Amino acid sequence: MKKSLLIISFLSVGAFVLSCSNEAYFTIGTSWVDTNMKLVYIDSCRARVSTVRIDSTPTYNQGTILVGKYKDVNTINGSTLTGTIKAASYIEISNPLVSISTNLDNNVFDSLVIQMRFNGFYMGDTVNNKMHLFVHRLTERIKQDVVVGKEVYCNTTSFAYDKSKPLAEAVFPIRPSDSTSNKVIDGGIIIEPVRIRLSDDLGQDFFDKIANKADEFDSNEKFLDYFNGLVFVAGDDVGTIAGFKADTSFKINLYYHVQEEFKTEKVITFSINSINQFNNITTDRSETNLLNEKFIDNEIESHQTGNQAFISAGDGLYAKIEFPDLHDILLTSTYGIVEQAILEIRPVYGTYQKYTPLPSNLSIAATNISGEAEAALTNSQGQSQSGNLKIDPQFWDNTLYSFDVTAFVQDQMLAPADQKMFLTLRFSSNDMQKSTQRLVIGDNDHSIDAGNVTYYNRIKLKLYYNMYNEKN
Amino acid sequence: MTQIKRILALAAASLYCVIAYAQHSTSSPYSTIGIGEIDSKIYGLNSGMANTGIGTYIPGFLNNTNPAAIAIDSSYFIFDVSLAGSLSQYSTAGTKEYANNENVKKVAFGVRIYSKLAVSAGILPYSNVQYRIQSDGYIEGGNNEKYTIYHEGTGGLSKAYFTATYKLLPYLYAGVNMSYLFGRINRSESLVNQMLQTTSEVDKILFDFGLMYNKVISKTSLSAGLVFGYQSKIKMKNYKTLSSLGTTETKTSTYTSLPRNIGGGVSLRNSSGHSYKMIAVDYKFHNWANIKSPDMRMQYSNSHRVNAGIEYIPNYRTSRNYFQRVQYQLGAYFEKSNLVINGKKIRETGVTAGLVLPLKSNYTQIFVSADLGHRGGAGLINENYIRINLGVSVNQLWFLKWAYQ
Repeated sequence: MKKSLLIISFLSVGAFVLSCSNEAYFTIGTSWVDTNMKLVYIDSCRARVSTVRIDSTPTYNQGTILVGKYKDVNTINGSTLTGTIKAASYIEISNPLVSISTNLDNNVFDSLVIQMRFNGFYMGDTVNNKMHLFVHRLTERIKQDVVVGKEVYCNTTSFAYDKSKPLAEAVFPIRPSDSTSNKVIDGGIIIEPVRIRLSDDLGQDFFDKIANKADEFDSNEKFLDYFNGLVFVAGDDVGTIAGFKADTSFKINLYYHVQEEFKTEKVITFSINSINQFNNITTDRSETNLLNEKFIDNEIESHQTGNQAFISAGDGLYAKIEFPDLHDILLTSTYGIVEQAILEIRPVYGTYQKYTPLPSNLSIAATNISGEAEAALTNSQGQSQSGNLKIDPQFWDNTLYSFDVTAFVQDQMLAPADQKMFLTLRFSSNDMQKSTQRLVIGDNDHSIDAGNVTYYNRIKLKLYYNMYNEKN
Repeated sequence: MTQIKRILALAAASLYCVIAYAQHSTSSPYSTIGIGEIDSKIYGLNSGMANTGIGTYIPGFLNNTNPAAIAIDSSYFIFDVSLAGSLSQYSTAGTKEYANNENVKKVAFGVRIYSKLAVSAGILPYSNVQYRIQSDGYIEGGNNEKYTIYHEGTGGLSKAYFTATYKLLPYLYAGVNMSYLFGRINRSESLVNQMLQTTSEVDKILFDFGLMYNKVISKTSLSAGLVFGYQSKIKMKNYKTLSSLGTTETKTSTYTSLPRNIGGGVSLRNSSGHSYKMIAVDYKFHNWANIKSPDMRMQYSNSHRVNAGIEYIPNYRTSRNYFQRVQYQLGAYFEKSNLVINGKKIRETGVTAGLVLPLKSNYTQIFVSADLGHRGGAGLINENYIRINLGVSVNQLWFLKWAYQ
């Protein structure tokens, strides 16, 4: 009896112990298993690309002063691209005496000088072109227009100024790289800021009012009512847009001296009120394909604009990308799943060079027809994406931005036909609000002749489709 | 009273069946097809003789190769458990892979109801599905990029059977076997984020029949047997689930068939002196050619199988030398299987060797056997395997004692 129990126990334990499972996958037998799935690469999905214009872009409080003019042309065929871009900048300065008291008895006014620094941004030739700029005095205060409901200052906002007599006119070389004060160049010379001497009349007026403890310097509000601010306007001969810092490095210095035994130089500094500083950016598109009358509902399809679409910062153009055939292409199998979808955007050859470099960041978002619920597209790891620009100087067709649009395509597969969404491609919000950059991209049919080479800078949706077709 | 004891013993045995027979497994590319790999492996006391038994009539041996072979001396209760473990090497041109599997394989018991009727019941694997296979493909339209599909299969069918052998004439026995085939086969195919899962369920009752002639002339006995099974259609209920972005479920029924089969066997036993010798040969034919293959990639053809074995006990009366009382078995088998792939038939050959070790009482035996074989064909998947069978056959005495206590 006991022995028999022992035998059974032995058998049971043996069975259990021996049952180690083999986890490896065999490669033998692959021709015997039923296979209903395959991975298919599809890049023939048509994209409908359009350029969309928006009313305005907020440009205030970006710490950036943009001024200048740039006529945008394609360097290959000389055609006008996005038109002539003009930038002017509105600046409000604060009363420096609110917190300090100064006795100016026996002092003598010397000069009133703007001191500022390049911020590195430019668009256009900086070697042959000089900055020619006028500083005008505003004749109304920079104030948000509550009535119209505009609560911010946009690229289209403007305020009245005294056009008859500028406070200053200055011509100086454009050195975007001279953006820091402590940079020492070869000869050991410290880079000087840009200096623009304002009218002595204004300087003397400031000085006298401060010396007389005039009411205007009593408070900041009174000061702003008296001195509304400045606007920087480029001369008509300017061919380049340059950016300057609108931060503590921007100063208006009132220089004076006292003549006692020795001459002592003194200064009062007016600083920028950056909240009320903004840039006015306008584009004259009269010589371009982007004529106002061609826009229908603020959109213009790429085949009307040379198989190209335009994205610009500052004055707000963006590209709209739709895939009307997506469903048809993928429904060739019973079922399936798009495992990966990559959207490649190619900048048009000849539209970017050193004056108009390719932006290193773009932003992509999915939007529904009504334009609501726009959401930035993240990649499969949930990270935000900025286009992953790849520059190939040998094969310019391979210079491209790429975005993981898998989630978008998967959503589209599931969405009913009346809930189609589209993609929007813009500059990153940072570039959008503080530069005048632009980008030209090709659509499905794009080609451009560059001498003996033809480039095809075409948009491409690369789909990896896991296709299920039931065998039976 | 005896009946009650028998029923109690039966219940105890059933319980063990349920607990022990939890699962069975194999790892084989052959199991990718249809209801899986039909289990022709070797279990039980005759495992060392290549399972030869259609024409074998031996009291105390739960021979499940012939429904007319259940021979039990009065008031015996027999209980068999066996398990098997195997290691297989699969190879195709240039590739070799290994798999192992093991589990409890068979549980059976038998009892004589009255002088003319003996019954046996048990459970054993009928078919096995167990594979993990990866297949690579090139992305269609892609630039030489590869992808991998993973295939997995588990499960299989089990057979619960009830056999009754009835003594028609002094030397002639007739038997019927009722089998209940049941089980579930799970298969899956997955590629990146898409997965197809198919569960197939089967339940089916089958009958097969047998005849046995057994004549004892002095110290020699001659047995001959015949078995027959009819063709039957098996319904598989398939539940398919495709999971990708969403989930799609479908339910279908497919049919597969088991063929008509017929077999015959003879055996000769002699116990002259104190030694015992036996020789047995079986042949079995399955009419697979009559059945349409469910898969385009293979055809069915008739299968033939021959098993042969010998057994020897040097001296079953001695109590001095234990090894004189051991049964020594040798066997061999050859099968032309039902599968034809690319016009080539799969063949299986093997040899077996086994020992049956009596315990002190002489009523309980432990058996162990080895089976060394090869399956495949030129240009096909070739399998070399070694299987070890281990089992115990227990007779009524301890059960009755246990029932009394």
